[in-house]
Formats: sequence, C-alpha cells, structure tokens
Amino acid sequence: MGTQTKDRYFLKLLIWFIFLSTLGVGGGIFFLLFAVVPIEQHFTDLGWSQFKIDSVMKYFVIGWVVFGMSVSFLYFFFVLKKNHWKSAGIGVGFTILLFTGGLYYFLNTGTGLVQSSQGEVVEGERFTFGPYPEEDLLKKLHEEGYDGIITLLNPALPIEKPLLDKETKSAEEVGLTVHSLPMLPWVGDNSGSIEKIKKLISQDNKRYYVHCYLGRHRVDVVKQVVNEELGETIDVRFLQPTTLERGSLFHFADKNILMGPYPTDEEWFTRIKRGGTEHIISLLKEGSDSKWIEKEQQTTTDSELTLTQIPLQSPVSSAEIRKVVDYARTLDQRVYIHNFNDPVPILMLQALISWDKTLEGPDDFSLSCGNPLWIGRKMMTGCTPSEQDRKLLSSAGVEKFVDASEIDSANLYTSVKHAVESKKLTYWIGKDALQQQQIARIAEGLLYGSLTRGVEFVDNKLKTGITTKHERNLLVGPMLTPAEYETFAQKNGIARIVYLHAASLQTNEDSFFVKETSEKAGIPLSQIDLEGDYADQLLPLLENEQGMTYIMTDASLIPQVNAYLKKY
Amino acid sequence: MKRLLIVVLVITIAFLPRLIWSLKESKPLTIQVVDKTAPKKDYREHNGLFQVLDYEKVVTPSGRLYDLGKDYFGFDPYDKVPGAKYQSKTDPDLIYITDTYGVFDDDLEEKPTGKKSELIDGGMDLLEWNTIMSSKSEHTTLIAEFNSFASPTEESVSDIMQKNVGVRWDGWIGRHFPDFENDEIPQWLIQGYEEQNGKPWTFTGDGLVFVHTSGEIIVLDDVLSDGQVKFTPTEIGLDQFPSISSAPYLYWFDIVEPLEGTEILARYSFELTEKGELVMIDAGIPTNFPAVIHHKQNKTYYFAGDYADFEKRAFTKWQGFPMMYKYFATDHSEFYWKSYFPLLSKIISDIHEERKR
Repeated sequence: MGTQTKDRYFLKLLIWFIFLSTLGVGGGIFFLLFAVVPIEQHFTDLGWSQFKIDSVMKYFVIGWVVFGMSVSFLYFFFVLKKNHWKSAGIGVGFTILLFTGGLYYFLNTGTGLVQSSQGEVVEGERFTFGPYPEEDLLKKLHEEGYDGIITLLNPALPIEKPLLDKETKSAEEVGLTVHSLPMLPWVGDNSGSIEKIKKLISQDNKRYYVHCYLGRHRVDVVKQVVNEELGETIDVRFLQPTTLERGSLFHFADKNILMGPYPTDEEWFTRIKRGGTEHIISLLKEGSDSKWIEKEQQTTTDSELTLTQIPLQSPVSSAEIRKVVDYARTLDQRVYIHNFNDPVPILMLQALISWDKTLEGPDDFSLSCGNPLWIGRKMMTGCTPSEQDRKLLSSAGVEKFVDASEIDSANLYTSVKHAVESKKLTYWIGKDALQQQQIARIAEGLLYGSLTRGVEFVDNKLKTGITTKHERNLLVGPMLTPAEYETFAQKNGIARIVYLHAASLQTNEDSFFVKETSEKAGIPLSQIDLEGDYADQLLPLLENEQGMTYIMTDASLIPQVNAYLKKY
Repeated sequence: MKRLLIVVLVITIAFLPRLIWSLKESKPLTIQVVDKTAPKKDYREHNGLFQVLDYEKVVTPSGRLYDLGKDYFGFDPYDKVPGAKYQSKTDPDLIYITDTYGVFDDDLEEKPTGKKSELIDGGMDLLEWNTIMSSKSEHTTLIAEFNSFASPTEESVSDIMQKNVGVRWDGWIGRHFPDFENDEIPQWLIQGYEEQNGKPWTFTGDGLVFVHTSGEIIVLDDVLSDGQVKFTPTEIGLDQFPSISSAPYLYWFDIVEPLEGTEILARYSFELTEKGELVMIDAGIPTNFPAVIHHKQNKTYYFAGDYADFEKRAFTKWQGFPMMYKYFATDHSEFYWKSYFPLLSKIISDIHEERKR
C-alpha cells in the first residue's frame, strides 16, 4: 500500500468516525425529542404500565443504535470506499449540521422544541421534581425557600458537562447549594447516587429541587426513592368515645355539643381535644370543686382551649340547665360541657338538647305507692300513682302516663320504643317490681345504651359467642339466634343492630335471614359488608347517638372487629 | 425474483407461528390477580400466569391483552409503594391469588441478603379477603397458590382462607434446594437451623428443607433423599387435564390436606431412604401429599406451590412454542412447561367455554 493510499484510508476512517459520532449524537438528540418522548407519552396516554412501556422503548433505543451503525457502514462501503468524495462531503456535512443543531437545542433548554419534550414539574412537600432549571427558575426556587438543588446530570456525558457547570455557577450566584449526584439515563449502575440521595433525605428536613435533563426518566428513579424513604401519609380518624372514667359522655354530632364528667389527664387529650373540641363550659363550683377549677384552668391554657365557667347550684334546676344550653348553642365551635361526676345535671342537659325538655327532681323522688325508678331524665317507671302522685309527677315534667301492666313481655319492647320515638317524658306504670325493672332496662337501652358504663354487658354469653362492651352504647357480639332477638336484644333495649357481613364466612341467605328476623323483632338493622371500606360506612353510623348499638358478626370475627374498633 | 420469493417464503414460515397466534380467537375474560410480592420489575410472582394468559390470548373485556405491569393488585416495584388493595368487580371470571407474602426492606436492595427485615406490605387481611369472596359469584373461579395464606397473614384470616379454598394447612412448607452451599439458601434458614440444632450448617449437594410455622427446620440432604419433589397428576387429574405431565417441582410448596368436597388433581412425592422416612415420620410430615386441590362446586383450586412464579420470558405470542419449550425445558422450567402451563391453559379454556354458553 502506498503512502498516499494509506493516508486516504485513514482519512476515510476519520470521516467515517466523524459521520458515525455526529450522526449518533446529533441524530440521537432529535430521535429522543421527536420520537422517543412523544411515543412514550402516547403509550402513557394509552394507559400502559411503566413496565410495558420500558419493555417496548428499549427496542427503540436498540433500533436507533442499529440504524445509526447500519447507515454509517453503508456510508463507508458505498460512499467512502468507492471514493464518492462529493457525496461523502455532503453526508458528513449533513451529520455535522445535525450534531450542531442538536447540541444547540440541548444546551438551550429554554427553546420551545426542548420545552415541549420536558416533563412537568411535580411539587411535593420537601421534594419538587422537574427538568433542567434555567437561571430564572433557580432564582424563583430560592425565593420560594428551597435550600438546594439535586442535579442528576452526569459530567461524564460530554453534552451534560457544560450544563452542569452552568447550573453550578448560576445556583451559587442565587445562593442555592447544588448536590451533584450523577446518574446515567438509560443504562449503568446508579446505586452510588441512590445511596447518597437516601442519606440526604434522612439527614435533614430541607427542601430540594430534583432534576435531570428532561425531568422525565432519571427523576422518576429518585421519586421512587423518596416514596420509599418517606413512606405514606396516615389518615387519622376518630370515633367519639362515650364512656369516660368518671361517667358517661353524651354527644350530638350535628349539634357540636358534648357533655359529661371532668376528664382525666389522659382523657383531656385522647377523648376531648383529639375530637376537635375547642371550647369548654365548666359547671364546676367553688368550694367542693375548687381544686379541679384550678387544674382545669391550667389544662385548658396548655391545650389552647377556651374556657367558660358557669357554676351550677345544688340541687340544680331545669332553668339553670337551659341557660347553659342556650349559651352553648350560641357558640360556633365544638364545645364540651362538664361538671365533676354528678350524672344528674348532665342527663338533664342531654334531655334538653335532644328533646328540648327534661324531667327534674331528686334522685329519691317518692310517691305514696313507693319510689319510682329514674330512666335518665326522660322517663320514670314505678307503681300505680294516686291523683296526688300524678300531680307531683306532672310538676316534675311527666307528660304521659302509660299503664304497662296489661302489656306482655313480648310487646314491651315495641311499646317503649314507640314512646322513645314520640319523645314524650313518660311515666311507666309497671304491674310489679320485676316488670318495672324490665321497662327500665329496655328504656335505658333504647335511650342511652347503659347508664352504668355498660358493666352489665361485659362478656355476656350468647349461644355462638360472647359480647364485648366498647362503650356505654356500643356492643360487639355474635350472630343472634331467633330466640336471642327476644331474650337478649329486646330485653336489653338494643336500639339497632349493625350486621357486619363477611362474605368469606356468610352467604346471601344468611343476610336474608338476619333481615327477616330483625324486622320481626322490630329492631332497625343496617348491614355493612365487612370489606375494605367498611369503616367509611360504620363510623358515620356510630357518630349518631341512638341508644344501644349491637354490632353483630360471625363469632370468629369478633376479635378482629374489636381490634379494629379499638383503633378509633 | 425467485430469490426474493424464497426470502419472503422463509420469513413467512419463520413468522407463521406469530401470525397464527395473531389470527387466533381472543378470549375476553375478567381476571383479577393479587400479587403482593412484586419487589422487582420482573414481576416474577405472576409472570408465569400472564404468559399463559398471553398464549391463550386472554383479553380484558375492553379487548386488550392483560398488562403484566398493571393488571394486578399488589406492590408497585416502580414507585416502591404498596399498590391498591383488591377492588371488587361484578362477577369476575377468574380471581387468582399468586402471592401475599409481601415485600420486605431487604427485597428492595439491589442484591437482597436474605436476612429478615421490616415488612413494607404483605399478608392478606380479613377485609380484603371478604372483598374477594364477595366479588366471587357462582360463575367465578378462584385460584390460590402458595403463599396465599401463610406468613405474614394472621392465623385467624389464614384459617378462613383455607376453609374457603378447601384445604387445611398444618404449618409446614418445604423446598428443594439444588445446592446447599449456594447463595440462594436464605440467611434466616441457616441461622434458624444453627440456633435450633446448635451446630453449623455444613450441608452440601442438593436436598429438601422443611420449615414449620413454629420455627422447626428439617433438612434432608442427599444422604436421606434423592432431593427431588415429584409432581404427579392423579387419575382424576389426568381425566380432567389430559395434557399435564409429571415433573420435578423445585420451588417452595406447602403441605396441605384436602377438605370435604374437594378432589385431588395432582400430588407431590419424595424418594427417601429408610432413615429419611424416619425423620419425616418423626416430624409428622407426609411423604406423599396433595399438590393441586379442586372444589368443583365452589369453583376453587388450590395450588400447593409457587407455580406462577416464573422468571423467564418466553415467546408466548407464538403459536406452538410452549410445545417446543416443553421438550427442551430443564430445572424449574420443566415443571412450568410440562405441568403448570397445560393445567392453567385448560382451566382458562374451560372458563372461556363456560362463559360462551
């Protein structure tokens, strides 16, 4: 081979190399902007999974490499090797032009062509993801309180190095720290940078703008790391407890008023403040309650609760209670009204707010035929009153007298239920002490659940399982047999049954049977499928006080339901 | 011209299987898959199932092929977050629980060490299971496989699930290991064995390992067994699924008993030495037990192994290729192509036939 031939051979190789590299880089940039990005977007729009998109896109990348190599070999063998110098010049000139144009667009990230290919800015609490930031964006980020930039540009890539240098300089000028954690866009091991990002996430609480070039591919990897490291937001839900250590708490979800005893230190937060209460009306009075008044002032100040003191006289009158109710009704905030632990004023408040009337009188209210039993401050039951007794009872607020001596036990539940629904302050005449106790138990169940904090319902043995008391008005227990609808549910004044249906254990026939039996017993029924969103249906149901609620489910699921309710 | 024709002919012949597959009638079916164990982008825990769906040309009611990276309920390996829980669909044709073991911190590492780490998401909870059972109508086929109800699912939920799929699990799981010195042996297994026996893990060669929920570990090396777990269809199984063949099963399995009303379609068996058999008797582990349990009336199948767990990608959109794979497959692939693939293909064809009626 002569020197001239040899020189020409090397010249051809050099031209081929320039052709290949300029076509690869220049064409690659345009291929990315005009083909890869729009196609990927199209697949995303079609609803493909990222896995499927990645699986297909790799063939486009491989295709481009094969295309580039093939064209360059054709160029070498059919143009250069055959000494078509004019065509060779046009070819390499075109690819150099392509390279220059591509590089221009790549380095000028503000141009419309590049912007149209860039990913959107996704703003998070601490991390915002997006494309390469120009100087204006850096200034804006600084003004918005960002602490730094995490750049994933790779200085090993010749076309990214100048961008990185420019960014570092601009960021320094505006006062942002740049963390350079280079990643490769398509291939390679990025684990070193990922580890550094994890450290950065955990070591401080600073705000960062994370970007690669287009803000589409490498930033997605970091998004995953951030998701993984920061975890998910936990949804907090709350079910108002109705049994405090010192007595029953009553609430009216729609009226924003709660009432009950003086909470313990723990209950102030877990039962009162956590439920969104902002205002406290204290009925404590100087003297016997002085110690608690002082304590409460401190607690409410610490908990940022507004405190109003309206001390009650003893014995309390309905007029005094009405004043408290009227004041509470003027407040826009959620309010908790309390005394220390005397249930009577609280029961009167409860009656006034729910029925707009209340019975009043001493606990040992006496009639000529004997002492009646109080059922809260809404009903009483006792012996047959004389004319004089009737007058006395009427002056205590009784609006209606019902003689239950002729009502058999099977119909007693329905009669009391009707009286409760009619909201009449009722005196029940029982034929004997046993029937009076039965009436009291049914009415107490229907009106309040239990006024003794539900102790009578702890571990009640039924045929297929044992009941659990959650609150004074909330029980969880097994499926009732038809006989138990009478001997347990009606007898205890169960106001409604919430049937949690588990499709894994119960059939549609079971549901039908429950519906039929409840209807027959006159007990309102709500069925909720024990599935993912059951709390969304159950909790609103329980927020409204409606006497004793019996949550009924398959006995084997009681522990799970109990555990679930305890979370609230 | 002649050359060109030959080239065209060769290309046509080469692509004929793909063409035949493309012309094949598609099977629109509503299929819901639960896979909570997808820490990596290979989706290996349900890849085996989706390959069968592709080959059978099962499409969604809207007419597209099922998407391996999207059409399942469970962990999302892209965002590395728990995916949506099972969402009820009216009257699905098939519900397939491929795995509920879940994803642990260690699984997200580039190279997991096999050490026990914190659970990110996993296990079946009662509410989700109820949702599954309520969406299952009398037309719906339910398939569950190992691990659907084992750890970290709570025992009470596991009991219900077992009852629903017609099995009773006594707590033993097992696996064949081709090399006891290999990195694939989980660290927790070695540690557990060493703690239990007070001696180091010195096993070599291949063999079987059994682990009980109590923590008890039994190892049968090549001195005590031939190291093989053989999957064999029963007579009933062959009647219903004539194309399934026996094959060695090389991955995790559980030891279950069938409940009343079920039929056994395939069984596992081991070849043990006399001493090996004694070890099994002592531990209360049977040497022959069900692999596939079917409840005809309830339309449930339980696969006592990690059958849909298949890492390799195959040409499943090429008609007839599975036949070819069947003859050349070795190791774990042998079971996949000879036993699982024909079994599931037939189940899916049957579901489709029934749906057409």
